[in-house]
Amino acid sequence: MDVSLIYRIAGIGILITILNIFLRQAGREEQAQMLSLAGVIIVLLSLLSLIVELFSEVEKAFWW
Amino acid sequence: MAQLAKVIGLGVVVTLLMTFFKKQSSEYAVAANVAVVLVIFLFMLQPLGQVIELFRQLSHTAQMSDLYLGIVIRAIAMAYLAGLGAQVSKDAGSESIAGMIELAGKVMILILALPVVAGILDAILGILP
Repeated sequence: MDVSLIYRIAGIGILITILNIFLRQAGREEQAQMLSLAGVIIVLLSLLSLIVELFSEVEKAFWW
Repeated sequence: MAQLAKVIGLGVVVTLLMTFFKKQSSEYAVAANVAVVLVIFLFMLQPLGQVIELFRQLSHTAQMSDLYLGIVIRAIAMAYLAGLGAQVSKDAGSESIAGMIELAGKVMILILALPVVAGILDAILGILP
């Protein structure tokens, strides 16, 4: 069971949330929004490999 | 037992972690949720594969037709996948997408089971004079 991806996602979340707060305090709403969008996309890209693994493993376990 | 403890520990730890995210940025909470679900499901696939292997051997011993057990196993896999997707989107707050995923799963399983229905009809027609 490889849990490192979960903690990586949580870490990216914490980092981007903090940076977001800084940008918002500095009055750069636009950039804060772009930053959070970029973070979501990065997280989703790392989730993609897990989803691909899920489908291949399901196919392997339930092969007929 | 140790595997169950691992799953429970991971679930509880990440649930606690998520309570922090939910207030600030819920999108990461959803992503981490999906990751936890996928990791636990992948973790459980290996024991599930052992059970499936046992079923396969049993059907081989009973000299059952391969076609029907294959359909059952595929239907189980599709039900698991559709249920997983539906649960994830229900957690993320979009009930309607979850409903559609469940509907798609049901329809696909129904299509998978069509040969069985055809087989039943064939058998009935064979019995009738």
